[in-house]
Amino acid sequence: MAVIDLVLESRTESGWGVLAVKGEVDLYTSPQLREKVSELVDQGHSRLLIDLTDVGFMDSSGLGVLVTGLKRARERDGTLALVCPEGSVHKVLTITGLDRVFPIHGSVAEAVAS
Amino acid sequence: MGERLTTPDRFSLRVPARADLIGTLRVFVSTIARHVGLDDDAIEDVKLAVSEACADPVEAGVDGPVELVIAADAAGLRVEIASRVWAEGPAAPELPEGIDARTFDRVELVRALFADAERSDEDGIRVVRFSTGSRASETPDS
Repeated sequence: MAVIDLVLESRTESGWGVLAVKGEVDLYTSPQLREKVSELVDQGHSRLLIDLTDVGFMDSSGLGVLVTGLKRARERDGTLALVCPEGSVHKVLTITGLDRVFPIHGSVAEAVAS
Repeated sequence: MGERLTTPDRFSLRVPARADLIGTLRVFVSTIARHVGLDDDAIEDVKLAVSEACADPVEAGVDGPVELVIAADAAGLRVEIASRVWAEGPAAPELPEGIDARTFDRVELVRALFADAERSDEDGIRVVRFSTGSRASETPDS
């Protein structure tokens, strides 16, 4: 059996709540991500940055979490942006059109400087 | 509706319809895809398509297994994901303004990756099938 671990590490950087995600995001692991994103929004992070640099795989279960997080952030007059270099995860965002919905940056440094 | 795969180079894996086993199915199909020589981008597309097709019945809570069947030949892979038919699809998440619910239609996502992807029901079995030869980035007008 393939064991899929999802590692979630959060920090604050230049006024952004940054959540670094490592692992694979699918139907099994996405509830962990959903819970963490909700927690950060509830803590009052109006600017949330999800760093997907070390996500090796993500399907639409993960997209659902990101979209729900964006909705909750907007309800609090905030935003949710992504760090997502070119690769398979970026492709999922592109083919679903979500690359036009989320601000997407190449690195955390680039995002917090924007 | 196509016939079930019966070619000699046929691989199959049947697992309980559980979310924690979808990753196992991805590993299985990616191993075979690599063995037949698909490039990394194509393998990632196959993994995504399999993950989406398997997640639908798991999320719907179907009874019985999910079966992944792969036929390999010179043209690449033909892939089927079969499970019992379920009555209703999973609900889309609450969507912010401007996002189409079809974004979260898993079969539509598979079709975006593989142009010949189809879903059919027969004798209580729902099958999603596609072939790597129809991969979107390999079609002339993509």
